[in-house]
Amino acid sequence: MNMNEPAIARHIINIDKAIDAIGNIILGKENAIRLALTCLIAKGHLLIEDTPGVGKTTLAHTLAKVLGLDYQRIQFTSDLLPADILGVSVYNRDTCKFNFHPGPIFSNIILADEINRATPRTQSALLEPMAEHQVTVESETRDLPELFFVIATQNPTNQIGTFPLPESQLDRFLMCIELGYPDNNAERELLKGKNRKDLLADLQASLSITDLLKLQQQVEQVHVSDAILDYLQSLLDYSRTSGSYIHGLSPRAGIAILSAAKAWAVLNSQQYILPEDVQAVLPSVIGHRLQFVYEVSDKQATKPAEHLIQHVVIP
Amino acid sequence: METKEQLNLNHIIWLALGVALASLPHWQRLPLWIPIAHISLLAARIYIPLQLPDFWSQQKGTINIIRVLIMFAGVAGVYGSFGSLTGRDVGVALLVLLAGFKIFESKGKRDFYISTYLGYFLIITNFFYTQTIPTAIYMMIIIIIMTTGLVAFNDTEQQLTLIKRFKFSTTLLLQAVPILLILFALFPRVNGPLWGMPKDAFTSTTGIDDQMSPGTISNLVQSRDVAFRVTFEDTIPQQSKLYWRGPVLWQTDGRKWTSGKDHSEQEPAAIEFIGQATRYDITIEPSNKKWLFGLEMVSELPANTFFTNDYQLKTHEPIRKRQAYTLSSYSSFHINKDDYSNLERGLTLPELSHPKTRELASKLRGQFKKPTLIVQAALEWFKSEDFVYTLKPPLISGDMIDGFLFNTHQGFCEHYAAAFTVLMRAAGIPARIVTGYQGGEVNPLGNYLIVRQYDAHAWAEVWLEEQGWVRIDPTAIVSPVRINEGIDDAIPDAIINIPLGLKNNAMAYRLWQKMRNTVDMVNYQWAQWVLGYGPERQKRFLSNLGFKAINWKTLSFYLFVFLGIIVAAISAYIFKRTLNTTEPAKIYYNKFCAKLAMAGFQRKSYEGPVDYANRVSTMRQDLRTDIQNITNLYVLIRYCSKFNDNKLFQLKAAIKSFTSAKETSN
Repeated sequence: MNMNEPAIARHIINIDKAIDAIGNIILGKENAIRLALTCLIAKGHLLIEDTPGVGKTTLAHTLAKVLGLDYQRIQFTSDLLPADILGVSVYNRDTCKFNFHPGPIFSNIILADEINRATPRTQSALLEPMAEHQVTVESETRDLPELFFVIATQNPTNQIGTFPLPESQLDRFLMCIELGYPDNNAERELLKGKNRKDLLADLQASLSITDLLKLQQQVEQVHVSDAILDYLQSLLDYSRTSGSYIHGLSPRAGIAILSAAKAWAVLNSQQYILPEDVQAVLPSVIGHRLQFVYEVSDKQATKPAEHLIQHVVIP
Repeated sequence: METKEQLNLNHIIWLALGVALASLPHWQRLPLWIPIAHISLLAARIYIPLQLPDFWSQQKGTINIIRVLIMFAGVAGVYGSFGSLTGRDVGVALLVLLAGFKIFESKGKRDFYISTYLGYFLIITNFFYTQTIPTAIYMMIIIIIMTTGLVAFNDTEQQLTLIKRFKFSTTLLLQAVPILLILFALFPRVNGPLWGMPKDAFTSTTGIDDQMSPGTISNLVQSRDVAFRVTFEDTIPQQSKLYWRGPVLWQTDGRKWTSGKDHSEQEPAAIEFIGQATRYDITIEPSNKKWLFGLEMVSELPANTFFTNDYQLKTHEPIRKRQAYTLSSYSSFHINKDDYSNLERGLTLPELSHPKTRELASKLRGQFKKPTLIVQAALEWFKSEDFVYTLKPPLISGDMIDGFLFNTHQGFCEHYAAAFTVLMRAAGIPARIVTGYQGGEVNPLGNYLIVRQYDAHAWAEVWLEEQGWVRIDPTAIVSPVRINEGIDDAIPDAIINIPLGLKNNAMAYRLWQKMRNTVDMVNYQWAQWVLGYGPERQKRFLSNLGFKAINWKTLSFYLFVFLGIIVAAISAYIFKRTLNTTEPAKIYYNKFCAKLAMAGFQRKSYEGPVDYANRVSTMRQDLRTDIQNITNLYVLIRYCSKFNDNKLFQLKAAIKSFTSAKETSN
């Protein structure tokens, strides 16, 4: 549908390469990979939620490596303190002054592994960096790099030893994606293939920083038609007035859906959004923001996002 | 087309439940084997597939033979039980059986729908038998259950919970109410064979008849059924003046009284009315008899009725449905003349019967001579002897009248009326028995009178030379309470079904009475406005609305216009909601979707254009290029910033020339 486009730009080719490269490591999860990249192009933080062992951390690592940015991994545990993330001032005997030693937060990509195993106090240390791109320690505010992503993984909240992220914290993540089990073929390939760790070590960055910046720029230029805004507003309206959900979607959620949909369009080399693009990103954008009033008893119960999609007419 | 949607157990259970509930009220009216067969068929349909999952797909030949065999057995059974294959009961019996058969053989979508329609039809048939408010409510509930079954069957993706399905079908029912009201009010009501009920629809109605033997009326008194209701124009007269005249009995064999030879062709003698008339409306319940009841003595006859020469108010056709008529009566009147043959009839007694009574009569006659004095003396005699007014008199052996008058002394109104009449005849005074109702219960809520079967009564009339026919009620002498207060007070614990325990608690009793009155008032209104909404009432209703002198042709015309407007309004609303757009591109695109929907590819309301195009293209490769082309244009126009009017024109042209019928050329 890109008949009127000029020659395909280099960064678009590169993003396709990146998708392939990640796909070689995380097998059979192209949609999740695309969503994850969409999230980063939309300048959003990403939360990956699933049971242990399905490849959350691997995906986070792969993303960081493919993007060619410097990254820090923080393993969240229940005794992790805010200072372990943000940094701490240490007394220097030579200069008789306190020197600030920046914590791992000062980098382009943070892999916050098993974020919900830390205490709420430590979790909330991430609030300011994620929302404001800055860190305030000892009443001094320090800026973070322009490109700053948090890719967090978490275990399902019903598992032992977890502190569920509060809603305000969840809201800082643009998307929450699930990986799920691989299908039969992918599983077989995974069992036959090399160790993922080795593959990861060999992985080369496919996207440069300029590519990423260009992509982000392009997201801003995506055309949003009135028809799409009508549709988005119908979605928001239904979530607030239908009575099926505990809380309706917030204006911030609306903005999040729109920017994710734009990024998704860029990923598909489109210059405009279709209702399908909104529908594609909707489950991961609002999955962690929308809850049913009651639990639907059916086993094959739809998730809130699917329910929402199916009940709103495309104008 | 092959029916792909196989019925699953869930659907069958819904269907069976609805149909079983719809036929449930019929079970008591049908020969026992029919409900049993019906239920067995339903149970078999549910049970067999559990044991033999492939039952319906295998052994088609054998099953067909079995099906035909049980079908014929069923029809033969109905013929055996009823001796006919027509009529109301037979029709219902066949319908119940066939509904069972249909469900038994149901396996696909079509069967499901046919069974459901059979079920809806079964619901209607209940109104052949009873048209009360509870019946209507019960039927509504079954409609909801059946519709819920339909909803469940069509909810192929199992998206609705049970409660939502119920809500959905209830909403559907409620949405039908306006149409129901319009159809009810405007559908032409015609007096004619079209609206008649099968002849066997009217049996077993209780009520006063033209024969009476001891026990006839006291049996009737056990019934709380309403005989008729009366609304007076002014105040309701005193209880003791409410004599509702019915059949007049002349002939006796010493035990049983009948009206005897029909003298109706003779004109009745003129009545001289005195004082003021009372006007009132009576709504009579179907009795399957030809009598109408009026206060003594009716002065103006309603249309299509006549007086017999003993002043019975009769219709030409039996009263088979609730009927309303207006009467006016005078409580004082003189009947001065009667022809000789009637006076002769009023003296006839079976030969050699009632010796003791005859003895008493001749004694009175010898003593008093004048008929007026003889009547007086006879009533005095009743008062002086120790007579008891009771519903359960002891059995009398031998001569009925003698046994009662000189032995048991216990009787109900029929005993008193009969004994007095015999005594008068024996004394040479012409006398006859009049049956009917006496009194009635006032419902203060609607200010109308309810006359029930237990108000049935019998009294006597004697011919006095100077006064003509005069009413004498010996029961009034023996039990004045019966006439002045009503039967409730005369025979305290005999009859009326007052729940145990209420009698001793004044407040609870009053409450119970009030409740009873409310229920009766609601029923009265229901009877007047719903069941009694016939041609007359419809005419009155419509003329109130300003449609004067309307016949059924213009009425049908108005009905269709009215319905047409409603259907048009609803369609316009739905149309607007689906379109709901001023954007030309969307309007064209909707046309395109409609074309594809005709070809079997309905676009889901939440399906985006590209998804839809891909879905249809994979199934119709032949249309792929057209579909992709149209979708591209549409997407560019609606979702992309760069488009011009030229594209809109292209889209319009492409959609106009688009046709889904390409497949045949391949």
